[in-house]
Amino acid sequence: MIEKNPLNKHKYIAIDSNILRSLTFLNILKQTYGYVDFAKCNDPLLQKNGNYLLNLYKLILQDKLRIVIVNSVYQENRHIDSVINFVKKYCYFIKDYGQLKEKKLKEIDSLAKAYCSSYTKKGVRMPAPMQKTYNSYVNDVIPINDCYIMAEATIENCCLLTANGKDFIFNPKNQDKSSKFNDRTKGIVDINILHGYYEEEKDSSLCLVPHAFHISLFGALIKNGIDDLQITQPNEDNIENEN
Amino acid sequence: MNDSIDKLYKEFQKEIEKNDKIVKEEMNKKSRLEMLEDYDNFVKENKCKIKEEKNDRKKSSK
Repeated sequence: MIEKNPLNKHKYIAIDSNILRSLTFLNILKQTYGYVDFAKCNDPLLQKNGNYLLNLYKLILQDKLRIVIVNSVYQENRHIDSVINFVKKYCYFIKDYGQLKEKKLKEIDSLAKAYCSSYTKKGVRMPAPMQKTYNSYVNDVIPINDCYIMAEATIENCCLLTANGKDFIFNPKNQDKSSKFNDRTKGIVDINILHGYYEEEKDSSLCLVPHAFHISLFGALIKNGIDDLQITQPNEDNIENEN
Repeated sequence: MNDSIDKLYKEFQKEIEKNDKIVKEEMNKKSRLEMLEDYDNFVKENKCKIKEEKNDRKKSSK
């Protein structure tokens, strides 16, 4: 039985840029025409997952599910006026950490790097679930922006809704049939558990770990309503407790 | 109506392409700290909604 916390009546979920951009375009269409015929819509994500995105959009308007924009997603979209108007009106942001900013950044950086490093699980060496890329600012290879998005969502105790399966959910180059469909997700979950980013519910064996899930699963996940959606909820900032 | 949806989509894509080009350059010119400061300024200037923090459950200490 999941303990209900009256302080947490809202559920929060982080989204990546593809979801944010499609939601913004959906909002433009709804505001302009009042309804959307996804079959006639040019956006490939809306054509394929339009009904799931429409469900998500309705939940946002009803304030049943709150969308979190993490720093790296904001950075990826900050020059698109329509997206900026959408996030200002409908989305939620992370509080300013003030003087703890550098400490918070170290926590994010460390987790993003962990996603790009091999790790040990039950004595077996496992491959890194995510990748690094060259960055001229630091003149070195650093985690790709998706690692930072995942780390920022995890540290805020949010699952990440994405349409980018090949970077967050599975590695298309993986030849191992037994794990190829969600190998990246499994690795991210393992690393989050190793770093202590999970919740155990009282009087239950349920363990909630922030992770990415694909928009195509959204319909099945909210089949029984939003209250039963098994996603992590906001937790208290740990930095202040450590000081 | 299809033509106007098509026009809206093309305009939106144009905006995205322009953005992505600028962002690609910015990513190689800014530190993570500068990016976070930008984010905080944006949130403050626009009085954006802030995610709740309070919860009696905490990150596992294991």
